[in-house]
Amino acid sequence: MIEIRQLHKQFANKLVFENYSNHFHCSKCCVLGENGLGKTTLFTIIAGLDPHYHGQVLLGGEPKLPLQDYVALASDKVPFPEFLTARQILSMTSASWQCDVPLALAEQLGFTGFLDTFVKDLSSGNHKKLQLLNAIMRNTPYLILDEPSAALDHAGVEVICQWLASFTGQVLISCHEPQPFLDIGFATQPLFGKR
Amino acid sequence: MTYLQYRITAYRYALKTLFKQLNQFALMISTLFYIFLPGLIAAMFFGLGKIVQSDSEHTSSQVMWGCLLLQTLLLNVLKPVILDDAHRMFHHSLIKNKSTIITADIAQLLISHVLLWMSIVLALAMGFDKLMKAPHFVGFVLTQVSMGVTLLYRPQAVVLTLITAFVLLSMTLSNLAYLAWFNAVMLMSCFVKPIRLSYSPTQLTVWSFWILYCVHYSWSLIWRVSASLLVIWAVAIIGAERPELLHWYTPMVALFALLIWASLGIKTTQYISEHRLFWVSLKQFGTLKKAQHVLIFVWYFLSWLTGAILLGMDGFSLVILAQVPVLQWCATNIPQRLAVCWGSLAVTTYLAKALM
Repeated sequence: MIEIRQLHKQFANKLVFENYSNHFHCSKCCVLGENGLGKTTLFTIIAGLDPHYHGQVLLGGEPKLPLQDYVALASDKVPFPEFLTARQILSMTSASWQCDVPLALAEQLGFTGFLDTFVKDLSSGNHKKLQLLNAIMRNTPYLILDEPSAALDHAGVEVICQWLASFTGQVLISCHEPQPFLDIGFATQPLFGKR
Repeated sequence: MTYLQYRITAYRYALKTLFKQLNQFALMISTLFYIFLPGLIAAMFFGLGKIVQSDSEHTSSQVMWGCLLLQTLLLNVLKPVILDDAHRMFHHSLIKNKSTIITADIAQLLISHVLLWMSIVLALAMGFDKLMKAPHFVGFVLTQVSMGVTLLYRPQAVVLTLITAFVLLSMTLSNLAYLAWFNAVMLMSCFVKPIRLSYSPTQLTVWSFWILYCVHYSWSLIWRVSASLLVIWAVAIIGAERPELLHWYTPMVALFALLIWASLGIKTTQYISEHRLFWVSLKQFGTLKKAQHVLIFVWYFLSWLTGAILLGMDGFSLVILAQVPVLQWCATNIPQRLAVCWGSLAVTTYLAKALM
C-alpha cells in the first residue's frame, strides 16, 4: 500500500504540502479533492517523477527506490512530444521498460486506428487513451491514473473499468465523476484527512 | 471598426508581441553592435550597389540571390504578424470577398519589407536616367515583391526557387535572364504539390528523437544554416575586395556562427524542460541532454568547417572551436547571460589576436 510520511513540497511561491502524511490503504482508491489542492503534484512524487521534495514515500511499508520501477503514472502533467506518433511513444516506453505494447487493450479501446496518428493530431479522448495505455503497459504493482475518465467516451470508460477490475496491484485515481469506478469496487479517500 | 482598421490594430499588437519575444536578442544586438549598426546598414547598401554595378554579372547575380535569401529569412519571421495568422479564421468569418483579405495582406507585406524600402531608396537616389542604365535592378525590386507575396501563400515555392536559383548561379546568364528564370521557376513551383518530408523510425532512441525534432522544427535549423552561410558568403565577397583584411573577419564569422548555434541550446532546453517528466518517466532524461549537446556541436562544427574551407581560417578560429562547450553550457544553464558570455569570449579572442 502507498503511504506518505511528513511530505514537504513547495513551488516557488506556493506551499503545496507541509508535514503531510496519508496512508492509501485500499487497493482501489479514488483520491478526492478540489482542483488545485495538489493531487497531481502528489501523484508525480509517488511515481518518482519529481525528486524535489522532503519526506518519505513508502510502498508496502518500505521506502523502495527508485519509485519509478514500481509506480506508473498516466497524467496530463506528463506531456508527450507532439511530433511523435502514438506508436512511437508506446515503442519508446516498451524499449525503456522492456514491456510489450498493449495492442489488445488498444483494440478494445478503439485506439488501433490512431496508433500512427501524431500526438498533436489526437483528440483529447484519444490523448487520454494514449496516456492510459502508456502507463498500463508497464505492468507495475502500483498504478496511478490522474482523471482517467476525463474526455473518454462511454465505451472507453467501460473498457478501463473492466481492466481495472481485474488489476491485482494497487491503483490510485483522481476523478470528479467517480461513479463508474465506485461501481467496480473503488473506495474514496480524501487527499487531506482520514476517511 | 472596419476590417482594415482591425488589420492595422492586429498588426501593431502582433508586432509588439513579437518584439517582446525577441527582446533579449534585440537588446543583445543593439548593446553589442550598436556601433556597427550604421556600418551594417551601409553594408546592405553596399550589397545593393553591387547589384546595380559590379565587375561581373555573375557577382551581381550572387548578391541578388543572397539578398533574396536574406529577405526570405526576415519576412518569414514577420509572416505570422503580416497575415495575423492567429486569427485567420476570424478574417474569413468577417469578409466574404477574399480579395479584400489579400489586399490587406499585401499592403502589410509592403510595410514590413525593409529590404524593399532600401532598394527603393537606392533607386530614388540613382534617379531615372541611371536606373534605366541598370534595368536588372528594377527587375530585382519587382522580384523582391513577387517573392514576398509568394512567401505569404506558397512558402514551399520560395524554398524550391532558392534552391534552383542557387544551381542557376553556376550557369553564365545575364542579370536580367537570371531574374527572368528566377521568376519563371517561382511561378512553376507554385503549382508543385506540397512535399512532405517524413522520417518515421520504428525503434525510437534519443538520437532518432533529435532527428525527428530537427525535421519538425526545421525552421530553427534553416534560418541558422542560412544565416551562417550568408555571413560566410558576405565575408568572402569582402575578402575578394580586401584580402589583407580577411584574417580580421574570419574569427568574427566563427564567433557569429557560434552565437547563433549556441542559441539553439536555449530553444531545445526549453523544449526539454516542457517535456521533462516524459523523459524522466522513460529514464532517458540524462541521455537526452547529452544528445542535445552533441547535436548542437555537430551543427556548429559543420558551419565552422564550411567557413574554414571557404575562407581559410587560422589558429584563432580553432580557439573559437574550443570555446563551444563554454557557450553551450551558458545557453542551457544561464540563457539570460548568453549574450554577455559570448561578448566576453569575442572581446578576449580579438584582444589576444591584436596582442599577438
